[in-house]
Amino acid sequence: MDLFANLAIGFDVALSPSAMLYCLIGVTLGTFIGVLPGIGPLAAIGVLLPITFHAPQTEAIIMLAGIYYGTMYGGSTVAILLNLPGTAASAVVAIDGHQMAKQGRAGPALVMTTLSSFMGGCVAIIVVAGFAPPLAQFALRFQSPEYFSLMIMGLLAAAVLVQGPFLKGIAMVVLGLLIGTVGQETISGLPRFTFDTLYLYDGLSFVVVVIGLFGLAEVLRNLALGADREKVDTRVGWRELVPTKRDMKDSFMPTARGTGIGAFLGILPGAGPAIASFVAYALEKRVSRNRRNFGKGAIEGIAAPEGANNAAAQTSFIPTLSLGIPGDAIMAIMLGALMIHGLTPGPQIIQNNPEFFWGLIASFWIGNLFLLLLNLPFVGLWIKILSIPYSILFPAILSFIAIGIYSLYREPLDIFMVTGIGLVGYLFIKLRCEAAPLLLGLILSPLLEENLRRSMLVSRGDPMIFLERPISLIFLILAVLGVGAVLLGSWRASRKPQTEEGSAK
Amino acid sequence: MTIRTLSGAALAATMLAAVPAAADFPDREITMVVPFGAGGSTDIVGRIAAQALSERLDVPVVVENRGGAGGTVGTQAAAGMDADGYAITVATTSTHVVGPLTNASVRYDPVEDFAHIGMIAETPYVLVVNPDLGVSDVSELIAMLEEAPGDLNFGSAGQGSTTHLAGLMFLAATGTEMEHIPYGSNAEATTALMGNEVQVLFGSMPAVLSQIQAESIDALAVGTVNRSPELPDVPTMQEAGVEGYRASLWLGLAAPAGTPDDVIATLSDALADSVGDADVAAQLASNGAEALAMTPEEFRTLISEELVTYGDIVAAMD
Amino acid sequence: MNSDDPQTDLLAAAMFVAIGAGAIWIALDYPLGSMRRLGPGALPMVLGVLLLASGAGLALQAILRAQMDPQWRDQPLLKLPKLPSVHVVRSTLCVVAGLGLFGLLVRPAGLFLATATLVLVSSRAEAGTPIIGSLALAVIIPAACVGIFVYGIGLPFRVWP
Repeated sequence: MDLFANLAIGFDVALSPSAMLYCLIGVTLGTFIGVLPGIGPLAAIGVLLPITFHAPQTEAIIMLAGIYYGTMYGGSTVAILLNLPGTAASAVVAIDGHQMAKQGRAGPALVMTTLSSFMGGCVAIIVVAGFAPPLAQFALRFQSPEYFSLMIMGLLAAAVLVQGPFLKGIAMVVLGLLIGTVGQETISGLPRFTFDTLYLYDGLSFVVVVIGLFGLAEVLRNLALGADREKVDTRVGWRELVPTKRDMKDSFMPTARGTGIGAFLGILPGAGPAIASFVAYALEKRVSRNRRNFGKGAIEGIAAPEGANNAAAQTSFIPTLSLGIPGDAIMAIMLGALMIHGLTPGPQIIQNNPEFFWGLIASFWIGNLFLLLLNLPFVGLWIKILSIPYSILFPAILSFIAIGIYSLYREPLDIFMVTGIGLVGYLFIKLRCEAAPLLLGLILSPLLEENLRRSMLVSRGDPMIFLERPISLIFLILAVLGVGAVLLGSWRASRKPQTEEGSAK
Repeated sequence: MTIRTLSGAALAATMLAAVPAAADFPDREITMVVPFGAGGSTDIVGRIAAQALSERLDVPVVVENRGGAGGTVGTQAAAGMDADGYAITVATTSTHVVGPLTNASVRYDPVEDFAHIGMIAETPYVLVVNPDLGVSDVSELIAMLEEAPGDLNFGSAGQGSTTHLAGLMFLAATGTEMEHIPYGSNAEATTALMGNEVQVLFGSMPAVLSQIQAESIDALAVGTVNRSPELPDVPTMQEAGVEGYRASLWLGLAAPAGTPDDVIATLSDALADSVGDADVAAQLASNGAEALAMTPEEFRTLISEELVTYGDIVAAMD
Repeated sequence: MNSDDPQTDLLAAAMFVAIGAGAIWIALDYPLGSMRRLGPGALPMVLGVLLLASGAGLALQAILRAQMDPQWRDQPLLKLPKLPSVHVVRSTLCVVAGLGLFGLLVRPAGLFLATATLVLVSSRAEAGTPIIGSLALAVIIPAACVGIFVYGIGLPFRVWP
């Protein structure tokens, strides 16, 4: 196996002083821009992209990878501290992360995100270095029916993620899918659910929905609570900033499982990386001994999706680079940056530019390491944000939200839309409807529809195609098993409602 | 302070990028709408042009992908953007000729609603097949299609896209049948071909070239009148026996109608200079596109003419 | 696991049923297509039905739970939500008005004044904040935002009218 030879080429490039410097600058800039509420990784990379134009080719891409990691980490940070996620993945991390922050455990939560990310990255880099070409070939076996079934599994996993009745989770996923159909339909061009407004022709912007449902709704909730607002204990010593031994032990297996899921799903462009965090979280919620604490500040609920997200982020470079197909919008920007720097993605990129390809892969690892090292001093800084009185903090959050949203398309209607969605999000909180599953539905909706329609065309109208193709069948079986396990669990729970909380120990 | 270092670094970088030109325009970033998904041929060519323009105008030219409905969704949006030169769009055979002809919901006029800037490049369509199909030339493919009409699938970059039309033209010219499966971009359609979900694709050269070179898909013919310098061994459709078949795709730039003439002139000059640059031409060529310059007037005339010729083809098909 | 009270679930169910029914009603106008060629109305219709069904299921589940569980059996099943308090109305209105004004002002008045208005109006959400405090914030926060977004990141916004 060329694994070590490949990694050697990569680290030779990535460990050069100039590459490390660019990586460090990228990670730092990315982190600081990523933490600005309302500026998700996508916008942050878009903003920082021009800076890389002035760097040499390989360094520029390495810096961009650093920015990518930095913004993702910054995004997780603000999601955990203020419940202001900018992506679907960070919305998953925020579920337990923000609860931990409220309990004064923001420090361990933040450190754990980097630790899990680092571990996810370490495993994924070996996967990429050792198996990129065969994995790219394997990904080709995923065609429309396989993607459809994979998404069905992912959506059901997202539905399982919520507290409370399973049907509520399903309803939220379906609602997200429905919102995703708003706008001009791609095949016939028919406008759907646009209510004759031009504004809705392009559909609802994902960032507007995330910021509205999470960030703004959270502000409204906090303000409504008034004097009853949870007091966050911020006078914590250095010792409490880092995870305890028990945290580490509890997080190890979830991170490992999350990493495995993420590394696998990352190679499937589009749907894969998006559902990785959701599937990892849902799995932990089933298998963890601590499952009763999920949603109430369980560190496993951070470790698994972060490991998955980061592993997927790395392995998603396999299709991006070897097939030229971006896994998500961020990868699309990275792909564009590659081409701007004169590199043509395609099957030959590994052969023609080995030092570039492996250098990039190795720099991911370095970027992660920088994040880990920078994390401790940063954590102290971030925690300070929580000690700002809310009456000062919330107008600042609102300003960041407004400016961040406006910066997307410079469209004032987006501000009105985010306000409206914020009110809806507040209603969801009041009705105890968790919004994270809705996000996955929203992202996957167009992909689900396209792949469904294509599958039916390919099968000439026979829905059995989803059961006849082995990979597709496996996903559907997994989906059914997952739902079955949940229904069984809640049936058992309803049989003995008097069981005390702590019986799981 | 870290915040200050951040601001300093970012500020320095922006200053570097934004040395004010003699005229007022451009003094900030220009948004270039690419009305197709990232990674497709239009995207690749658009990004090469964006980079070349950015160097010549000294401002960032930021590509915004807005795919859907054969490029008409993004073009529709671009037509409604501010006519100040800071919003431009990639105009192609697809968005400015085929889309308006085949898609009833297109509400823009490809001639009147735009201030045309100029041409970037032209790319041939290549008839490619999955190697497992076991055909080595066009006549073998036609024989197979005649034996089992409608059994094979051909992919495209979307309903009503030029790749779709290129396929329909082939079916009409040869009197054969295939099921059409639309994808979101040329890159997706190419992957579907490699995964054998579709067996035949009339792919745009930039999207399929690297896969042809890697021999993961087979090229049977090109749709241009002359052979492509990138694939000298691949015959034209005429040579392969499909009479009267011609399909190529051009890509240019346009701004919303009402953009001031001097702004258009600035953009047009920068574009012509870019396209004439040997490095840019080489970048385009390595992606299967041939650099092609045109004045705004020539570009506008071309669109008007092709609307008539393609209109006849579309009308004859129904 | 089911910690939500049935009344809340019932209200949520009502919301899902209403949205599902609305979606079906609108999607009736979109072509459904055939099994082989699904039309643009197929997915919205299926989703509308699914939403309606899961809402109905949720309602049924809530009603059953209220019947079975002694904790809820004696309470009225349909409990209208409490009217929001003056404080909640005030805070929500301040935030909505602040953001609305930002949206209206940002184009004509520039980033600084729009943000200042947003901060000034929204900070009144907290009854305890003195006017002078709001005014101070309405200077400091916009200045910081302009510093970070316009001069720091280099977003091309117009700062002044």
